[in-house]
Amino acid sequence: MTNKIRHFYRDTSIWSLALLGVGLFMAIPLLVVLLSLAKGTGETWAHLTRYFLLRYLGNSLVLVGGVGILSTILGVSAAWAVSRYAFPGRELVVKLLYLPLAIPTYIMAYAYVGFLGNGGTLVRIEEMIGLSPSGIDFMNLGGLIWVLALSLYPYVYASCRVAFSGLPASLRSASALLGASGLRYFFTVALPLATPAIVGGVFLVTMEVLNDYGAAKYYGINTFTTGIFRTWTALEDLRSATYLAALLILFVLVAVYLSRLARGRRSFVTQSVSGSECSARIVARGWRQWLVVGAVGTPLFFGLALPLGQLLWWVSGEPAWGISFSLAWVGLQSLLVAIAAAVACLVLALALVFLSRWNQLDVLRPISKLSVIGYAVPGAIIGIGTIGSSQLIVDFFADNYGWRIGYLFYGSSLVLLYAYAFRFLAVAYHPLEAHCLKLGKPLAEAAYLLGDGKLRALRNIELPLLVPAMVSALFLVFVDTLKELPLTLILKPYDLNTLSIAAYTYAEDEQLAKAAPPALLLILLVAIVLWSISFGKEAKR
Amino acid sequence: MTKENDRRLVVTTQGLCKSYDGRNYALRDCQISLETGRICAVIGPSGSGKSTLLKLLAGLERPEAGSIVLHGQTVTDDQKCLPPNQRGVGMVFQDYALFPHLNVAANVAYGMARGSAEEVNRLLDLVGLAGEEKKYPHELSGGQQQRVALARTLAPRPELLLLDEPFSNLDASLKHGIRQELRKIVKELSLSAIFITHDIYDAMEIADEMIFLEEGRVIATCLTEDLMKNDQAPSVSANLEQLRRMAERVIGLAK
Repeated sequence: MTNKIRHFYRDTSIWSLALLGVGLFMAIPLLVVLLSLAKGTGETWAHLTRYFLLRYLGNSLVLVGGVGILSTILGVSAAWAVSRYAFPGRELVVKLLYLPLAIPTYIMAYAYVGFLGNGGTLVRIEEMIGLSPSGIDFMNLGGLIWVLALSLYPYVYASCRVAFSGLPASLRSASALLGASGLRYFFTVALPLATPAIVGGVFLVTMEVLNDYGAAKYYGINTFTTGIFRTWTALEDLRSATYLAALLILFVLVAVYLSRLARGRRSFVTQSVSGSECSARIVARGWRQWLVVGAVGTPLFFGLALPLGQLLWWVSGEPAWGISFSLAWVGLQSLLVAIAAAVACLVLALALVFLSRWNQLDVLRPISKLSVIGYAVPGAIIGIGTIGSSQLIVDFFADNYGWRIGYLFYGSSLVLLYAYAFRFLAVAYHPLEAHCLKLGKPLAEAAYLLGDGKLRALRNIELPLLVPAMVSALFLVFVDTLKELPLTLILKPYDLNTLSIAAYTYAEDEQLAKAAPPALLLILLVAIVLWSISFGKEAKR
Repeated sequence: MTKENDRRLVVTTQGLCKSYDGRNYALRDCQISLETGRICAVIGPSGSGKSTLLKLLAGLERPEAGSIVLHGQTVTDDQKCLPPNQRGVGMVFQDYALFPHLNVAANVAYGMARGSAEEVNRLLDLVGLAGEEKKYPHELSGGQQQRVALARTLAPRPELLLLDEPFSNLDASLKHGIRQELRKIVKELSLSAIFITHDIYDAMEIADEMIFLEEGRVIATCLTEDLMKNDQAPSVSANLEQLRRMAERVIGLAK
């Protein structure tokens, strides 16, 4: 008998059981998707595999690759420019470079069509100044890659900022003394050391690309996610949609594996005793000056100024919306939903962090990591999983007890909240876990030895010290929920209208100008929160 | 062992084993015992299992095998593991683990059932920190933080005091005074104490007896007075010459 089995009774506590409960609760949607594979494919599966599957796969691969490469170029060069070079207004630029993240991909997509498309702003400007109208066809795979990269590059930028600003100044001095030029230092030292950060950023970009529905649908590009929606809504074949979702999960697992593989066994830890890169910032001159302008100017102009300008142009032509009460009402609903989701994620994340700390059973340790996998699962899959599991529960109670509880699940705010919690739990969990690791165990252990039980030590010692991490967890989930589209679209209660839904619905109806006010309000709310978060983080660098 | 002996023993461990990864053992087959009112130093180089032993006694870790009896009550075995707050044990952590959001008085009063101001002041007086009760931990020096940690640990009146390298963060000029004070306080309050160190001079100045650990095993035990004498004494569980060589080796390893 091994020790683990012998001690199973001794080491099982109420905390282990609670952890198991939370783990199972968070696993429901994925389990339902995987279990339903056993039921076999739906009627349209043969048709899908024959005519669409390769196209979904090809488009998704090209999108992931294209957006990954473009967002890496944009994110790395901008991060290097602001970390390495000093220039007027640098501090403002550092923070502005995060802001394209406030523009949801689908809104960026509408703005570009409004600017470049037939009868768009560019054509009008050209007509005004007497040029022949160019009318660029933008609604294709290339256009989609461009808009997705512009609104997602901040993931790469943010992680590279951390990596570059943490490089010791001594590395640069050592490299210069060994005769390396600035360019060689960048390519042979700084860039390789930032590899894990770049891989981490690109991984998040990949997840967002696979999750995207609004932009791809609007540009008419068939991807896995649009395919799942189409199979489900237009072909009304939930089983085939589930099969597509399972294939997409495979795709995600490959991405997770590759991101781990890329890290390998190399060490990327640097030890600094001589200050960091930021203390050695230099003024760019000559051709370097233009490179810096290009590196920060390109994402700022194409990712922020152009789409915002287009949205403002539309709003100026639709003054009625600007002051309407309905916009305020939609905004309020969005705020309430996002706050509720943020609180739900925070509570679940706290439960996961502490229950897994208190649990003594090795066999349950992976639960906390598995429960936060939702961030890598596209909204369409979570939507299918949530609806599938709701159906199972409703049928179970109807068949066994004759209870009709469908109203609690279908189109209910609670189910939407659950789905948000599943998708964004990782966003709240990671800052809390990191902060807990930083605090270490001894503070709680000291409280236990002074007579506290787990919950009293949590209330008196650990939670008060976790407040900063809890605030940033709340903010991050709030931002993600405000921007979220596919899940909200699938699961929202009939009478709920959010800013993202309002912007999407108007744009789908080709009323782009009417989509602008909710889109702008959404961007404004997200930008305020992002600005305050990046302000706090950047103040430390 | 008679019941009389049981009552006089504050700690007994039998066959204590602990592994963090299931393969390598941080502590193996550890047998120790300590009588009431005595101070014991656990000496060994880094990675010898000293901290693990303390954590197992405090209930902060669970052993793979073995049992722990505190004040005549079994607190850890294969069937049960009493939580730290039910063991009557106090611990001073290596980095003191003072609660950063509470001031000195609140830190000291934390473990008291009814923390009266007089009692807090009496304890602060005992550790030489009268008048500092409104300060926060980050406003104190290392030596002062160590004294607050000691006062906080003494407040709930534990029967057994555990100290995890209590002098490692102090500079040499402070060490001597604090070592003497600690011994005085422990003896005055009639406590029992186990403290870990890799400095033989810490041990010789405070401890009544010593336990030497190496690679998770107890390699020797002795009374401090015997180690200081030249002739072999009955309390030494190994040949004295052998023990001296071992002590030198342990000290050498620690350096």
